Amino acid sequence: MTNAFQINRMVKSYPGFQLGPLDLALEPGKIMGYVGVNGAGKTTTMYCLVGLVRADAGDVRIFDRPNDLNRPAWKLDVGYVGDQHVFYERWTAEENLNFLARFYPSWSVGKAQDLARRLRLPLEKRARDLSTGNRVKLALISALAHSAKLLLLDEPTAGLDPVVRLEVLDELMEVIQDEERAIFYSTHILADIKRLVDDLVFLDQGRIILRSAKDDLVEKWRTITFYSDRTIGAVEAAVQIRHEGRAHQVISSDHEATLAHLRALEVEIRELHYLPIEEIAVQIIKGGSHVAADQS
Amino acid sequence: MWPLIKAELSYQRPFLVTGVGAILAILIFLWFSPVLFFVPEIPFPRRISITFWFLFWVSFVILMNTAFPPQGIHRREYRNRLLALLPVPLWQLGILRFLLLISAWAALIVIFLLFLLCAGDWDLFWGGPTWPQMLVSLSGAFLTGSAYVVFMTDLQTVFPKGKKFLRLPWQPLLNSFIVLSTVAYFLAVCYLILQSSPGVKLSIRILVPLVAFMAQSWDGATVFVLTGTGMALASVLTFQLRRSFLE
Amino acid sequence: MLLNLTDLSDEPLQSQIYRQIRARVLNGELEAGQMLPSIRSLAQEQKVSVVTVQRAYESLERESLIHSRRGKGFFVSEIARHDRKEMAFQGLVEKLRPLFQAARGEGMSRSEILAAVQAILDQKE
Repeated sequence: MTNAFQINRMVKSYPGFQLGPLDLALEPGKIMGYVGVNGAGKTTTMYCLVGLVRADAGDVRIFDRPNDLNRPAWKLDVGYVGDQHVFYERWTAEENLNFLARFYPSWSVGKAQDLARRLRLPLEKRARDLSTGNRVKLALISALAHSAKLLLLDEPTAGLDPVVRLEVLDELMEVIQDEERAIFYSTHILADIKRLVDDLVFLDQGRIILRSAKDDLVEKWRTITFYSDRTIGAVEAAVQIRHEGRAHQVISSDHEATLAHLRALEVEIRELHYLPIEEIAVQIIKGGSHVAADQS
Repeated sequence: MWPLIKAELSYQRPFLVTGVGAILAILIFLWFSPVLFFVPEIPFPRRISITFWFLFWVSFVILMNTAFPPQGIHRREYRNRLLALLPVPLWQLGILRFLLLISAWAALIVIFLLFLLCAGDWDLFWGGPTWPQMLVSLSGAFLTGSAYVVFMTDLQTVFPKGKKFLRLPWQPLLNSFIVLSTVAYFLAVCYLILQSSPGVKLSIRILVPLVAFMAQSWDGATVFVLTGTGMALASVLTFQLRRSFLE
Repeated sequence: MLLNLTDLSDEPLQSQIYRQIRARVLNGELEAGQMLPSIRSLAQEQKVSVVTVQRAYESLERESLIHSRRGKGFFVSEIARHDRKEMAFQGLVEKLRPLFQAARGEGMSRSEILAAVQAILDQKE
């Protein structure tokens, strides 16, 4: 099976920061969330994938073709929305789309128009007169209209006000599942993508600290409240533990292990709750590799 | 590649049209107005040589605009990001840039030659600079200058972001060459204008050989144009060497 | 399929899907032999990850509530009446267990818990 993309031991260094060595693959048809704080290296990863920046080491393959800028056939399968959107400013949105259409044999004008209608993008406006939200929409249409099999979305809703963000997200989530595509979605706000995402990859300071199926994480993590008169020391798989007199609350990255341990300690287990995926993400990022190691 | 060239040209069309229109107007003024630069009675042939200096000034302005775009009047758009993402081989983008580099100058030369054709007299020399050589020289100088600028922007990306780009050993040499040749051209032209005025004879001996080399000999012209073309083609190569297209 | 999935609840979506389909199978709303929506189409409809639906279906399959026919899809299994009852019973027991634990924690006695259950059942009538 050909992976949508395959990153092998990729390294990109800047003064004061290094991304990688990175090893990551995305299966076709899967939706992957790329999570990390600002500055973790998410955007740089995207740049390296799409060819805007050349990595210092390692290689990148898109549908088993190297992302060689001189043999750009691989780009026909890729749609990219980056952190900056560049257009021919004096041209209208429609003219910009028509320009792009000439480079992609699989471009569908009908699709582009349909997307513009659904996203409520005024096609007759010049690119420089478009609001930020509309620029994002134009960038999205540019990426979607040629039925790319791999979508690379670098925080597409960044910088949008709440109303526009919802508008864009709504349509994006609708469109994303239209066809069988692989989607690589980088974000630091998990809420956007949490329902749709299959796998999550956590990036911290240029290294991948964890890759896991989202549902696995949701299944394994719990908050557990228990009562005990004794002083409680370390608890198995506890990421965080708080005490208030007799009451203790634990955030566990593996509730079965924690529960087993607690039963052995003969405490009174009072409550067991799921954690929302956003909180799990925060705990993983906060804890870094230390927490992540327990997951694998 | 053709859709790209067509797109870029059609996009720049308003500028090209107004720019060329303005230059045409000035050229007509230069050639046919009775009084020029407070010097009366400049014969028509001599005006042709003044034209060169005007055309050079224009290309110099274009060049500086390319290198250091003014904010506010006309913000230069950086489209590398857009173009580098297209499914077009990198070498084609390098060539596109090369063609755009020479397009402004090529348009000017075409206009000039058309005018000369209309004037009907190709033998407008009078012992001053011989215009074919000078034209070729200037083309070379223009190419060299603009290629140099884009060359440098390419090499900047080869070195890590955040670090001021390294001082390459030949860079100060090239800088001084460009500055000196520019100054030499201006001085040469002033000399030529003043030489034609009755009563004022400025012998700038040191300049005459340089001017002769640059403007009167085919050797000089060839040197310039070969350097220019060489550098322009090299710019196609350096575009490929770029490590980043983020601008 | 009309499901009621919410992000606001504690419960993961996978679990919600599982529970709601399970309920409909057990109360007969989904009849034996009826075909369930494909994993992909349910995921699209509910705007959830394909993996989520897949896992929910797997849980249902493990409990023999549904079965898959290769190349055809997922179908509701034939469940004998007494098995249905048994499953519903077990389901209720599992749900009540943590609730009763919490009640014990609040200091309620066994008879008090039974009285509470009685009160609820009386109310329903």
